[in-house]
Amino acid sequence: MQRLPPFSYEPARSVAEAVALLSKYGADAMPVSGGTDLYANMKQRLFAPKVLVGLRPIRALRFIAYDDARGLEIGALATVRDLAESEIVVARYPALARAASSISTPQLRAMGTVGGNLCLDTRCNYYNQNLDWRAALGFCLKNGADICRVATGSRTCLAVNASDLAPVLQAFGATVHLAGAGGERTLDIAQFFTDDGRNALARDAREILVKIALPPAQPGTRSAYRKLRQRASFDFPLLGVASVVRLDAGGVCRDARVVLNALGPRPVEALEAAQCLIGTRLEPEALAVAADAAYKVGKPMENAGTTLAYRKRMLRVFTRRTLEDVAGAGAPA
Amino acid sequence: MTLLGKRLARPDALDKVTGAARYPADIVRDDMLRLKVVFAQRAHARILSIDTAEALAVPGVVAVLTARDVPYNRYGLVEEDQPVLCDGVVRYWGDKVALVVAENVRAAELGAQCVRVAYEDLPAVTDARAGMARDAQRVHAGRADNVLKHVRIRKGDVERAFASAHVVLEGEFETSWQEHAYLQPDAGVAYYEDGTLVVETAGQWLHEDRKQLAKMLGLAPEEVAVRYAKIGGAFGGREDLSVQTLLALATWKLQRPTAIVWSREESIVGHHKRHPFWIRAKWGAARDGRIVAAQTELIADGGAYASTSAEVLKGATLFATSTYEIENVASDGYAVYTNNVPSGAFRGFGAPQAHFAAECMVTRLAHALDLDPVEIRRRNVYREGSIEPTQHPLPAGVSAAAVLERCVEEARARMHYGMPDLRPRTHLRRGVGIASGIKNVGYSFGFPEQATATVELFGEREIERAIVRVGAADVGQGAHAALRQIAAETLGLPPHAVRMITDDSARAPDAGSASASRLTLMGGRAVKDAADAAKAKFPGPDAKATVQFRPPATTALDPQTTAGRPNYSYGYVSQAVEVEVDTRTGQIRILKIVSAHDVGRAIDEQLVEGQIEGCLAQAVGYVLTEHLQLRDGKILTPHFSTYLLPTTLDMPTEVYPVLLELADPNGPFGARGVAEMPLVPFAGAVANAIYAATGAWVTQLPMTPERVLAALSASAQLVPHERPRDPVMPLDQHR
Ligand SMILES: Cc1cc2nc3c(=O)[nH]c(=O)nc-3n(C[C@H](O)[C@H](O)[C@H](O)COP(=O)(O)OP(=O)(O)OC[C@H]3O[C@@H](n4cnc5c(N)ncnc54)[C@H](O)[C@@H]3O)c2cc1C
Ligand code: SF4
Repeated sequence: MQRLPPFSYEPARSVAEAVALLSKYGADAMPVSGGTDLYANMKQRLFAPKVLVGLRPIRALRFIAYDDARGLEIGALATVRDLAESEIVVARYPALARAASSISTPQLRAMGTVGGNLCLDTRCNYYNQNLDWRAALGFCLKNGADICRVATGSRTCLAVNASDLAPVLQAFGATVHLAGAGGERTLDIAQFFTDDGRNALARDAREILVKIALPPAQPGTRSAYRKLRQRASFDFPLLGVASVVRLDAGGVCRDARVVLNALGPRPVEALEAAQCLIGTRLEPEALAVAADAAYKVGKPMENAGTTLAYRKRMLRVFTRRTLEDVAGAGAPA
Repeated sequence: MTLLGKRLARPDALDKVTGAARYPADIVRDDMLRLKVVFAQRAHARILSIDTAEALAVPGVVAVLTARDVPYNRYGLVEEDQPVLCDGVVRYWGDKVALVVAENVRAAELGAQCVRVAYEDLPAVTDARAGMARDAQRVHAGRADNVLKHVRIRKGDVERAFASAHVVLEGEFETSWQEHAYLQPDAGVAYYEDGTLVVETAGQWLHEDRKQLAKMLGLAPEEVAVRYAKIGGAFGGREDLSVQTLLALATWKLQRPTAIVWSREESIVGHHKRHPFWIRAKWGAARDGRIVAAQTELIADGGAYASTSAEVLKGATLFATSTYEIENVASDGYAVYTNNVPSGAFRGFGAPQAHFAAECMVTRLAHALDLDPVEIRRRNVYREGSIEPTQHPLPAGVSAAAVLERCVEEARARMHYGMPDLRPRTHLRRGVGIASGIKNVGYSFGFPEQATATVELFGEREIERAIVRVGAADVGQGAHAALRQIAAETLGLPPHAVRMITDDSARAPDAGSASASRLTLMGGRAVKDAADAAKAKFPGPDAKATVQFRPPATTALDPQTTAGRPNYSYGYVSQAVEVEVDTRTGQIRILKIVSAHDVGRAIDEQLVEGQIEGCLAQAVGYVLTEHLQLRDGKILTPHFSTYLLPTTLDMPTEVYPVLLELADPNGPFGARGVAEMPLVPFAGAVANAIYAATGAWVTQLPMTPERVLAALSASAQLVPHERPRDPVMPLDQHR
C-alpha cells in the first residue's frame, strides 16, 4: 500500500495566518489546497514536508467575480469545477471553462483548486514514480542527483508543466497575486513560471497564491483550448494548445495569442504563430502558416506518455484545430 | 419453467453497492501479523547472500522467511517450476526473495527495506523470439533451451494446397501483455481454526488452491481449508497463487494469524499477465472463396515461469484458424521462457491473440477475391459436423453460422453497414468491421473435467427449502446467483428458499475452476443433476444427493498425427464494430458494437448481458489503450496513471449484446458459457473496421495512435469510397 509519510497539519483560517505558518516552519512546510496533486506525490515520496498548511479553511479565497472594469478575478481556492461551471466564465472566457472541464475526473475537479492547479509540481516519466522505481533506475536532477535522464546533457530539469489552466490563463494575459510576509505582489503569469523543472515557480516557499486576475473580455474576443490525451477523461495533457484572438468589427484579427503547454517546465508562447494571424481574417491558409510556426517552437521531450515524435507531430495538428475553433470553423472534438 | 432467463436481483448486489460486502482486505484484523514481500527488482540474477540481521533488529519484526523456510519450494498450476521464495536465482523483477513478518505494517515495510540481498546479475532474456535461439541464455538452468512448450497441429497438406490456391496472403501480427486490473488487489489472511490451517483470500478454484498450499507445506489437503471472501474480479489473474503461499507459509511457520494486502503496484508487478504473441500467418483461398490452407506460426512470451502457458498455447494454436473449416492446416505454437513477467491465464486464454491474426487474414482474402468479408465467412464457417484442425468433428451444437447471420442482421439495422458513406470526406473516416470467433467452454485436451455438487431438501410433504453445496467461485460474474437460479428452477422453489454454500473447500464439494467460461455449464449441470437426484428421493428421511458431472471426455493430441478431440463444448460469437478514425491524429473512436453470442440458454439475461458489456470494456482496453511496457524486464507502467484502462467516456454509448439460445447438449437447460467470448474476435473486428474506414491495416496491439498513423502512412491510398483492395497482397501470388 502506498501511504503518506507522517506530517502534521496546520489549518489556516486567513491569508495572514497561512503566511505566518509558512514563515514559521520555513522549508519544512508546504501549503495544501485540494491535495489532489500533493498527496499523490507525497505517497510516492517525491517530498515529505513535516508540516502541511491547509488553505481550504480560507473561505474568502473561494470566489469567482466579474466586473466590466476590472475583469475576472478567481480566488485561489475556487475549485476547478467552480470554474468549469461558472456562467460568466463559460460566456466570456470559454476556453478557460473548456480547459477546466477537461481536467481529470469529476471527483478531482470537485476537490482540486485553481491555485493548486497553477502550482502543480512539474511532471516527468522518470520522476512521477515511487521510491523503489526511482532508486532502481537512478535518481535525476529533480531528485537531487546530478543528471537528467531525459536529456543527459541538460543542466536544468525539463519536466513538464501539465496544467490545463496555465496556458489558457497565459493566453488571456492573466496576472497572479501572491501574498507573503512582506505583503502582496502581482506578477504577469508568464513570469510566474521558470525554465527549470526543479523550481518551476517564481514563488517564495513562504508565499501563497491568493488570486488570479484576467483583463475584461473585449468585444470580438474568441478563445479555444485543445488537449492531447490518450483517453477521453482522466489524463493529464500530453500537449495543450490555447489560443485567444480578438477580431475587429470587420472580422480582421487585431490581437492574437497562442500558448503551448505540457512541453517543458513552462507554457511556451508561440509568438510567431500569433503574428501570422494578426491582420488576417483567420482564413485556412493563415491558420496553416500559424500552425507551422507553432510546430517549430514546440520542443517536446521523451518524458511524458506516448512518444516524442508523436507529440511533436501533434503540435501542428492541435494548433491547427485550436485555431480553427477560434476561427469558428472548428471540427468538433 | 418460470425462472429461466429472468432478470433477478442479485443476492450480493445490495452489500456490494453499500460497501458492506467484505473483500479480502476487509477481513484483516489488528491482531494479525503483517507480511511484506522483498521483491527481486532485477530481471535475472544469482543470489549471493541474503542478510536478514538488520531487518530482524527492526522493532516489531518477528521473522524474515526465505527459501530455507519453505518445506516444498516449487509450485505451479501445470508445471511446478516457480519457487515460493527464490532459492539461488531470481528470474524476473517481481520474483519473491524474502518475506518479512511483523507486528504491524510499518515495521514490515521498514523490515523489508532492511533485508540486504547481494546479487550477481546474469544476462536477461527479454525477447521471446531471441530467447528461442539455441545459444540464448537459459532462464531455467538445465533445460535444453528456453522453449517451454511447442504445440503442433497438422491437417491435410498445406504446401500442396498453397501451390494450387488462387490467392495466397501472408501477414505478421503482434500483441502485447494485458494486466487483469481487477478492482481488488491481491490480499488475504491466514489463521488456524480447530487445528486446520485456513487461508481466506480471493481465488478462482478453492480445491486447487488447497492442493497446492498443502503440498508446499507437506500437509494433507484436509489439513488446509481455503475460503473465499468476496472476490473483486479475477479474469484469470487469480488462477495462479500469488499471496496465498505467503500467508499459508507464515501462519504455519509462526502459528499465528497473518495478513497481507498488496498495493496496486505490487499486484501489477507480482502477478502474471496475458501473453504477448508474435504471429506469422499464411492463408490461401480458391477462386470461389473457399479457404484451402492456413499455416501459422505463433510465438508467445511465457515469462519466467510456466504458469498456464502450455494450456494457453494449445488454445491459441487450435484457434489459429478461428471458426472456419479449412482442409489444410499447419500450426506451430511456441511458448518461450523469458525474464519478463510470467504470462498465464487471462479471459480468452490465447484465443484473442490467435483470432486477431486469423480474422484479419480472412478479411484480406475476401478483398483479394473481390468478395464481401461476410460472404467469405459464410462460405467457410463451421457447421454441424465440420472437421476441426485436429481432424475430428466438432462437438454437436455448432452455431457459428447462425451467430454470424444474426450479427450481420443487427449490424445492418444499427450501423452504417452495407451502406455507402455519403458524408463529406474529412479527416474523420468511419467503417464497420465484422469478425467471428470460437472459444472452448471448459477444460481441454484430455483434462479430467468434472464438477460436483450436493443438494439437500427439506420440507414436510412439499419441498420447502434446499441447501446447495457447490465449491464455485463467484468472482463478480454472478455465478452464485446463476447456480441458485438453476437449483430453484429445477426444484420449483423461489430463489430465496435455496441456500448456497460455496466458498469453503471444507464445506462444499469441488466444482472446478471459475475459468474457461465453464461454471454455468459445468457447475450448473452438477447442481441441476444433484437437484434432480435429491428430488427423486423426496419425500424421505434422506433427500440429499451428491452428483459429480463429467462431460464427454476430451483427448490430448496424438503426438504423431496431431489428431484428437480437444473440447466438449464451444461458445460462438460474431461482432460488428463501427469505428471513427481520425486520420490526422491516429485516434480511434469506437462508435457502436454489436456482440452476438450463442449462449445456449440465458439463465439470467441480465447477468449474461453484464458479462458481455463488461468484457467489451476489457476488450476496448486491450485493443486501444492498455499498454503494459517493459524495459529490461522491468514494468514501466505499474500504476493506473500510466497503464490506461478505458474510462466510461472511452466506451461507445451504443453497445448491443445479442443473445441466441441454441442449446448445448450438455449444459443445464442448454446453457453454454459466455464470459470470455466478447474478447475473442474484438481486435480483429476493430482492425477490419479501421481497414474499411481507411484502407490501412493495423497489425499491432494495442492500436495506439502512433501505430495507427504509421499504418495510415504505410497504406498507399486512403479512399474510403472505393471498394477497398488488399494493399499488401504480393502481386505475383495473385493468379
Ligand atoms: C489522476 C489525476 C489526474 C489529473 N489530471 C489533471 C489534468 O488533466 N489536468 C490538470 O491540469 N491537472 C490534473 N491533475 C492535477 C490536479 O488534480 C489538479 O491540477 C488540481 O487542480 C490541483 O489542485 P489542488 O488544489 O488539489 O492542489 P494541491 O494538491 O493541494 O496542491 C498542488 C501544489 O500546489 C501547491 N499549492 C496549492 N495551493 C496553493 C496556493 N494557493 N498557493 C501556493 N501553492 C499552492 C501545493 O503546495 C502543491 O505543491 C490530475 C491529478 C490526478 C491525481
Ligand atoms: S526532466 Fe530530467 S531532471 Fe527533470 S525529472 Fe525528468 S529526468 Fe529528472
